[in-house]
Amino acid sequence: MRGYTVCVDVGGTFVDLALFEGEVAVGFHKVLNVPSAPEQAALHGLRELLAATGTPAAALDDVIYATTLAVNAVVERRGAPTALLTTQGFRDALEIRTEQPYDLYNLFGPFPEPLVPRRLRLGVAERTLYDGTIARPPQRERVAEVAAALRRAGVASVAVCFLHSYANSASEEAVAGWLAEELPGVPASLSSRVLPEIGEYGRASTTVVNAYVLPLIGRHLARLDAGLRELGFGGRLLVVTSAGGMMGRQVAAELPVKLLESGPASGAVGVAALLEAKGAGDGDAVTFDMGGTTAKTSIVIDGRPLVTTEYEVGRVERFKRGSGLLVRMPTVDIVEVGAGGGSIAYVDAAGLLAVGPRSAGAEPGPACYGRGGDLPTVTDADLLLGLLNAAYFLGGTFPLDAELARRAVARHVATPLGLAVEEAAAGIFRVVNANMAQAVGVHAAEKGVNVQRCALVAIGGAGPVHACAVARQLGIRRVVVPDKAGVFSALGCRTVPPAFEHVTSYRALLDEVDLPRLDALYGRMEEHCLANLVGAAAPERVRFGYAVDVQYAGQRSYLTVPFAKPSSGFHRATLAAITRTFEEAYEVSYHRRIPGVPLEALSWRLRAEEPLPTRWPRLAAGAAGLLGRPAGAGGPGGPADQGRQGGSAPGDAPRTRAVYFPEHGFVAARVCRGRARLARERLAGPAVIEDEETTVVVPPGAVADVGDDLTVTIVL
Amino acid sequence: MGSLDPVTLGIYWNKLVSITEEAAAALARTAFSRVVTDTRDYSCVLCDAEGDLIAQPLQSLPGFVGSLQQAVRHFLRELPPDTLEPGDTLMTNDPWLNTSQMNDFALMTPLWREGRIVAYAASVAHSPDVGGRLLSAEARDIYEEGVCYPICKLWERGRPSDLLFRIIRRNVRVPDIVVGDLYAQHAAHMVTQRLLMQFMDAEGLRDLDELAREIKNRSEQAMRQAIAAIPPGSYRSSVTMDGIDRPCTICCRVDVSSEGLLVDFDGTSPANPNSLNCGLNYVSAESMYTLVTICRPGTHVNHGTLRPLAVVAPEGCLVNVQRPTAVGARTLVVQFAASAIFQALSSAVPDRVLSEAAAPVWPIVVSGTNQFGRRFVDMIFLNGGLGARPHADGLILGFPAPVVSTKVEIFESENPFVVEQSEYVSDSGGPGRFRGGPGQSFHLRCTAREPVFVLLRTERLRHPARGVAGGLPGRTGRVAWNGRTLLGKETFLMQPGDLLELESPGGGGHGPAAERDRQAVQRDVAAGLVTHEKARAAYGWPGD
Repeated sequence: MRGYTVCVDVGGTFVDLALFEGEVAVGFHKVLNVPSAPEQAALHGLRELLAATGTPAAALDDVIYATTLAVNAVVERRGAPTALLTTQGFRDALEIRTEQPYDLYNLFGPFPEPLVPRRLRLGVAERTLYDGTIARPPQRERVAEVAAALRRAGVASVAVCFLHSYANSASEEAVAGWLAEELPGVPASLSSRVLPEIGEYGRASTTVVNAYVLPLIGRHLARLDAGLRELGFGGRLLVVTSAGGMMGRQVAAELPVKLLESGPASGAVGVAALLEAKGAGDGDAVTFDMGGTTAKTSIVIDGRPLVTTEYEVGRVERFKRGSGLLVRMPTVDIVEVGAGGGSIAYVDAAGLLAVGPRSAGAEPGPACYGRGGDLPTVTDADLLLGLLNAAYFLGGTFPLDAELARRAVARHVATPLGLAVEEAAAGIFRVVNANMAQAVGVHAAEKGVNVQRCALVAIGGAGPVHACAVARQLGIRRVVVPDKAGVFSALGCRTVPPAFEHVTSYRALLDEVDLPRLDALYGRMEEHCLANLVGAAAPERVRFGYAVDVQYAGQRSYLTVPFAKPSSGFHRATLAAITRTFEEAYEVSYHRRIPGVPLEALSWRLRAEEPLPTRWPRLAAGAAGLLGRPAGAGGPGGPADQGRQGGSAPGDAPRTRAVYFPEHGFVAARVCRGRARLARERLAGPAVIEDEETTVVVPPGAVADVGDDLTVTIVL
Repeated sequence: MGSLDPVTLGIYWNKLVSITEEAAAALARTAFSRVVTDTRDYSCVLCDAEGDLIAQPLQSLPGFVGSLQQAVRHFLRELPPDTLEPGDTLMTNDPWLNTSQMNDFALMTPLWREGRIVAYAASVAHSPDVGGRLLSAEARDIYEEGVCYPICKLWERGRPSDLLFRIIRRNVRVPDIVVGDLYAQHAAHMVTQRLLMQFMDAEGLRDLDELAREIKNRSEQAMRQAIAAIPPGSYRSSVTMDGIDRPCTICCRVDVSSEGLLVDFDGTSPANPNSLNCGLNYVSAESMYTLVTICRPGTHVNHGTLRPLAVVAPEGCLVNVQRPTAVGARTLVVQFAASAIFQALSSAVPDRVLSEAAAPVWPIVVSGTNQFGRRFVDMIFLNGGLGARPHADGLILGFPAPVVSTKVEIFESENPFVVEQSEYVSDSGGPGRFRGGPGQSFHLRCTAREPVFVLLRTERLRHPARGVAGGLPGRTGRVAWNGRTLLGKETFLMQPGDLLELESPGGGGHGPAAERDRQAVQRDVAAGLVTHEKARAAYGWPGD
């Protein structure tokens, strides 16, 4: 018996699992994570899921895996003692960074400590020039000296980043060979393998992050794999990349910097697949994921999430660009637009109502949690506005205290501003929605995306509560709320195709590109991507996606332009096509072209992918979550017990209650409990649908359709 | 309070800020000049119908914000609203009306709604070329520094002025870049116009008058409260800079009272015969920025924030020079003014000031023929160490202008040089409980086939950045050409094979060095940031 797949998404608090028979989801599970041994938590959850569904481990073809372990190791500084070898005289690029303050009006703020302290950043006398000429090869004696020092210092991982190694990797390779002999068992991450891209700071920073998490991730994946084998699993362990692809375990262990954002990437790819299945918004969407401690957005265009080439990890100030460690690696472009339901409301220095970015988090949490938090939060306001049901939060397992919410809002917002408590709560709701809508709008504008053409896909516990209000501010008319949002990323894993990306810098005016050199460059990259593409797929099924970073010569911001590579090799017509695509894209972004200025290519990109039918999984009738609740459940963010959804008797909830809507004030809204009962129904707003894991708020004038698969589609 | 409640007002205010953010993003992405794109040497703001600044992007160059406010006033004095028509955009680069530097073009566009002006979009961006001697510190008057454009309509009723653009093109070395940047500024104003009108339509606003009034009044109140936390009194300091042929001193007195903060630069050296001078407009803007970082009023900065602040200086001193004195090197001057203000207030609020920063960013112009046989003009930027912070060591950061130092790989792939070193300079950060930020080296070997023209404009080669609260000075900078130490403001021809060594100075320390955490001293020694000798001498480090 074969044909089963299990997807495992290890988050900070929970491990989510989904089991598939072919493309049909047949079971879900959620267990608490064990941060000290996440592979044990994953294996534990898997055993329970397999036992409950009577599936032998041997029936699994693939385990598809996403994890926050790497990114958490960077944030919490739990990586390996790491060294950085640089060209002699250049060891501080990592720490000097871009020299940009992230807050011009706070000169005292902290910056993240580099992952490698200066005493472990060592120079090697060697030099490669910008065109790849080796002016001075490295000497073995110096590398032996350096290795001895690193041995004494107890270094467990080494990053090597020499100047211009993107143009010629020979010196880095030579040093790696010597290091392997001098420091057996200590892995080396070469910048020319991790990211052969021009720019010494970005390349060094990315390579160092890779080296820093490499031993940890390698051990973790090996243990997970061994545990799976013990269960009788004989298939492939696949790891999701930040760019929304799957890679094999060995590749993931060598390039862990590629899996930092695997969970969110699965979610974004999942949204794209869901939209395709629903035919919503022409495939374009803005995701809006609002939970207790964060609100995030990403953009899906033409059925694919937007991917960025650069992002930051471990910011010292969460919402300040430039306060984290730079990672240049293709990553689904997910930005934080707010601090979620825990965002604290207060009266600011100008005497105005402000919300966030300070957050009460999960501990002590909003005042209404009754866990000692006495500051008013967005969740408190939502409760006072009738958007949430105090008696049915998390399916009634976690009662909220409206009186505590009232007291907090009265004391910190209503009284100082001379407002009634409901007015103050309404203010909090309006301000946080305005902030999030603005942040989504600015992000979309930066990407040159017209949000009004998009659907808004709401996930997270608080997402569907705020989604319609946020959508209205953005001029978005269609809101989609998927079911099973509590295990959404695990479902999304099933839609991720095998893929591998690579980049190589070759800077030249487009008119002066040396075509044979470009052919050779892509020949190497294609070979490299195929070698790293999981599954030894039949070559004819592999699709190559080509792109190049292009700018007007003299400008300093490039656009990544896709192009088709002729099978006969590059010729001038290819470059002319790149020019046309660039000019069109530039015009879309900036509303003009600049005639007469030559174009310059910087870095050449390749994505190898084996396309999957990226359909959103069908849910089997009675696909059940299992076995009641895991130990420790019952807190906020607690598990979704899918099996009980809609199981409450009709008399449990009042038929209507007063709910606040920004344009209408408080109005009587229909209350429906459990969307399972609403399949194929149409509801007119004002209405609220109370699920165990969220509440879908439908404003007056809007119409909500509940699909077969319990996806709610709201037209505003 | 009028019809705007404290919820709606906050939402509107944030919206105006986000409009300027989008406009600034548009400007940065479409500008050509590396000075604009790499060093963020631009700003893009929104002013109300009275010409008062009400919103600006969060990451906007602070010194430009204050000076744009003054530029808008000058625009409106010269061409009052009744002389303006929809589609007009005004321009000037007059140093005394704008940022005290010819290379900065200020543009202003009135934003019309239902037949009246409801706001102004204004921007300033640094142009790589306005003719003249390319920011040479040696210019003797303003006429050597380029072509000055008095206030004029660069766009009139929506049409670009053919004549003006032809004049501009004819007077610069890189006309496409200069004109491209002006179009980028104009495009940013159009973004502001579109977004503002969308916002006003959505909210049913006919004008911004009440909103602007509230923003200004509330910001002023917040600033006054912040000022009240500084002990009243009169605080003095002075800072000495290398100058060009002679050192010069900036004297500063800060009066803290219930009226607000007054900075008086009385006693400052007279104007220099070269371009190491600044107009009061720009000194005032940077001084106000420095004061805001000390006060931290907790609101977005706008005209209201700046109302309680005043900056004065005697006419003819080097921070208040008059036409036609040259001002091209004014960036060097203003950072010393900021240091003087920090130094003055260090006795009043020691935990709110930075120690003296090493130096303003060093700009070095290089020009010649590159390895591809093309003419090039480029600028190398090099930051020094910032002063130590009251609770942490100093950093290398662009301040007060957030300029990025030149990075090696990009630089070498464009210019005929090999960089032989770019690293922290040992022992350069001033000792203290918290150490000053280190300086950095940038050693260049010329690989061109023909000589390359080099223009230096460095500082603090002879007068170090002092510490505060008992902290010690940072190391001075060093510039050497083939081993020969230079004065730091020369122009010369670099021959193929020549080596130019640039080492920027370090910032001053904060607090007594004897009180530095022993582990921090040990860490600096292990890192090679502090040598054994220095550790023993400055910190009494016992190791060997």
